[in-house]
Amino acid sequence: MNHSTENWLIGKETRRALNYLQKELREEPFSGLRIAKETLRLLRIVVSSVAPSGLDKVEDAVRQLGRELTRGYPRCFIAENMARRVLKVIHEELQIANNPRLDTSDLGSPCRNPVKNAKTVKNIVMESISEIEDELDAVLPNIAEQSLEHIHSNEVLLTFGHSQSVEEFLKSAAEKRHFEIIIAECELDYSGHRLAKNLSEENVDITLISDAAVVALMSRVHKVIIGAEAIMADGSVLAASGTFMVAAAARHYAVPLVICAGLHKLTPLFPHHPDILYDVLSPSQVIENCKVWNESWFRQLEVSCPRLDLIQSQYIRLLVTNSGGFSPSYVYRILNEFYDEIDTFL
Amino acid sequence: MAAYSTNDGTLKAVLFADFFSEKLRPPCTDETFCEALVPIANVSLLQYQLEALLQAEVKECVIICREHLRETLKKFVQTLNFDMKLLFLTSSQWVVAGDALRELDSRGDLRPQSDFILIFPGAFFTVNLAGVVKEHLARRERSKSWVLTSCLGQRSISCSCDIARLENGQVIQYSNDRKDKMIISGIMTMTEYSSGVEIFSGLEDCGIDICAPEVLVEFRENFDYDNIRDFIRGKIDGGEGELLGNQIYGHILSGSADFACRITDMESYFYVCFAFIHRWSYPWTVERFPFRTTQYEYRRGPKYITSSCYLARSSYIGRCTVLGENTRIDENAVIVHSIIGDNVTIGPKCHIEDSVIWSNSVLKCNVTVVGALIADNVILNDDCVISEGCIVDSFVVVNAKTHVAQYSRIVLQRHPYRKDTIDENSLFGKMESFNLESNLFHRNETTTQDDSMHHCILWQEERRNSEADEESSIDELEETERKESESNAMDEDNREAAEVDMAPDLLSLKSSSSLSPPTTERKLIRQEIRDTFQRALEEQHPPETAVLELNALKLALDVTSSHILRVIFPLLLDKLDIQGHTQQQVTQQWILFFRHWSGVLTKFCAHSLDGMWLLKYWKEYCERLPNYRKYFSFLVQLLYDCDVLSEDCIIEWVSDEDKANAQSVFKQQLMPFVQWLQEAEETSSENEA
Repeated sequence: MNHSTENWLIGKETRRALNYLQKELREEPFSGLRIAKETLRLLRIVVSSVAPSGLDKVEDAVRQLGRELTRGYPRCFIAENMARRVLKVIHEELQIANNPRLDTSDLGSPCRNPVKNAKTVKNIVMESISEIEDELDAVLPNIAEQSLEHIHSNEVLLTFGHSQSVEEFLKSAAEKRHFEIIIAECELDYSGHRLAKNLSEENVDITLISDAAVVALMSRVHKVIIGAEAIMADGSVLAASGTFMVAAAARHYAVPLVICAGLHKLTPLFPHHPDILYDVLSPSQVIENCKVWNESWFRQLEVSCPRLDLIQSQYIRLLVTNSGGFSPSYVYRILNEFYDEIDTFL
Repeated sequence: MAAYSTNDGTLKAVLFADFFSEKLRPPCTDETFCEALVPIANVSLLQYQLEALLQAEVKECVIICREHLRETLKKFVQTLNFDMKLLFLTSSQWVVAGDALRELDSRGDLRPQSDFILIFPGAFFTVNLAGVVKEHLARRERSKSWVLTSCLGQRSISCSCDIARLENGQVIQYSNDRKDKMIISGIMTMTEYSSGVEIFSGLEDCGIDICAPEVLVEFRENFDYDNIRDFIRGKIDGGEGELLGNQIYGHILSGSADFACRITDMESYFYVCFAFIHRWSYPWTVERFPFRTTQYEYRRGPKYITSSCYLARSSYIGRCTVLGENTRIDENAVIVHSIIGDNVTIGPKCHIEDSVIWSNSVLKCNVTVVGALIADNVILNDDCVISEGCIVDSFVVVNAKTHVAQYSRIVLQRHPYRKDTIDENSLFGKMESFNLESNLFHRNETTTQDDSMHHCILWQEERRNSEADEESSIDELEETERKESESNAMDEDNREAAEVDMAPDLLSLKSSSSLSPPTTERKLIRQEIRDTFQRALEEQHPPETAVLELNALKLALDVTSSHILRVIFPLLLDKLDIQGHTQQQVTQQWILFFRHWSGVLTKFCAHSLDGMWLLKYWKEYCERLPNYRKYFSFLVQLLYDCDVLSEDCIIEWVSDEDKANAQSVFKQQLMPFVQWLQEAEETSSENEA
């Protein structure tokens, strides 16, 4: 798609908002919920500005925006998902508009116009955006309130790195129960340290370990709880690099692996090309010594530092989401509920 | 919506799209092609620069280039459709970057009113400058004197520099000359600086600065500033930091995502290309450069392959490759560690390694390209071999079975897009014409074609000995000096090789063609300087006037201060008279004479290399004229007293001399003085302790 032709739907104001969001996408520390909310805010602007020209125009605009958003950014899933959810609402409205009989069967009221006027369209879409926003607000509490079902007294848990939902999950369990948590530091960004700090005020025993020690400690662990970057359509999960090792160790010792993630991370894509999904980082993550990089031996190397790992669904015991816990094989049902099939590729 | 606008004043940027040097030529011999458009993984440099500026929330950008590039750049920029106001400032009269900045200052419509980002030619960066700008503005808020923030990368590639800075980030010493020792003036009074001093070496001066508008005024006043680095040096060396309170902040880019470096020559160009492929510039990578319309697919390796690419079943694509759009790779072709542009056809059994091929080229059957650069629209016929370090300019056709020797550069004499043929006067000096009768470049001959377009010439290989070359061109003792300096240059090269330690293929691409003027021109320049100074000597001008005159001459003729020193020092020596006087009289006379003229010498003997030259010249002078021999040590001491020679310089020269010839008379003569120097140094350091 040519860049120049994309301007026709997106006004200046939107473009600015888009730039802001794109900046947000690369900012650290990264928060999926914030991205989701920003995306919805952006979609709101787009819908309200394009709505007067009709529903199908709105659809095009949202689709286009979804594409634009994800171009060139590593953490694109959430923004894409939000666009897909709004698209689903629009599709439903379009369907009702095109087949008025379906809609009017219950009441048969003649006042219902086959082509709804722009204002109602806008209202309906806006309303659904608000609904999604409310849902996002409730993601963390919803996940947290399930904690007592999964964490029992004096259990030993293991987690990897920092994840907002895991943190809330553990905190809410710590209010009622006492348990021990082992935190692997997550070598890429040492976010495990942050989690350890945040949990230090709670009534839990914390052990911070290096990533390499995970396997050795696994036999003592009752449950592994980790966060995710995305839940793929086949129930597999993309999570921080190193988590696959955790998952493999957990399976070896038959320790259940629980993933905590909001459903805004649910992606209707399949992990066919893990190479692309892994998001390989700069070699400077591996070799910090900046003098080395100019030396000939170093230039012969291929330094690979993926940001993400793919954990296949057979490793995962349970997905704890804001709409309850379910097994990975159930993902397809939720997918159909959330997204329209035609939006899989924006 | 307030959150979306961070600052109310629009941020401006000034971007140099013109290199003001010929270091990247060829391949850019085409008049309308501009260095700012060199592709890095098939996207031009300018596009990266503008994109990075866009992310720094720059709203308006002034692009500076010479007149003949304007149209090309305009056309190019229009295709990009950036959400940024792009203005052009062009002129055909500029010689150095400083001229352009002076003109910018005089243009009320373009002149930035508030602090702006200044991007130097060839800067490739993925740093988000928004943060740097914000810091700069905060500093300015606190004190108006922080006029400049200079970004320095941690990984040095091409523009290596050393700096010393205080704990508050103020740069107190800057040097981009690795041979120089760093002398921090006022280290004795370091107690003044309540905090510590950090010294960084081997930083990359990536050519990104955030300047206050005052900097431009400074440029207007000092018409000898060539570029922003002169400004920095002027500030630091002149001690103006204290006087006017202007401070320079050195921002070290230390984050893992802060990638910045500068393309100045072929070597650094290759470097940047492959660093980009190796993902050093993450989050900017080949497959997700934000405004790239081509979709590259990342594969393990790393390999980046477009979907429109045709790959034959038996072809082999090795590690670190980029294959552009509509590129066709035929059977049994092997491509390793290379960048292939758009619409390139690579025939069967070709072997390509460590090379960069720009778009629209055709490689026929069984072509071997190793460690070379092939520009756009090139045709390489069957079985030809392009060896290491070669550069093939655009539109060249290389004949079948040609073997192009290492480090050759092939350009077209008459370029289809160039207005006229290469200016013979200026270029034939550097080029040996090659095979002008035939239209094709071929060594072993074969066929001739009638298309007269393809007159090729071989760009003469030039060594990287710019300084040495200048030296040898000017001085009087031409033969000995030339030999000396060449061996120096070799040493230098080796040393540099050791330091940089590049992979051999890249080392070979050290192209750097310092274009020193042709010999006749040099002679004229030398004559002019000599006349000026001779006049000053004869007419007893005060030294200050002589300095002014010489300075003006230096600017007018575009020579360095070393050039001038090499002319005036012999003249001064010739003025010395030892006939018919007692030794006492002679020394008295010399002291008076040199005291008088020392100002001139110090002015032009700024560099430690110059000091070395001075000593060497004086030694050789004494060797030629035995009468002077007994005064050797005396003059050296005199020059030391007059601050022309530094003690480091003298000590270093003596040790060099020692190595060359332990029995040297002059060394022996100088020994007492050197010992005294060393003792003095020790005692002073003891005192300090």
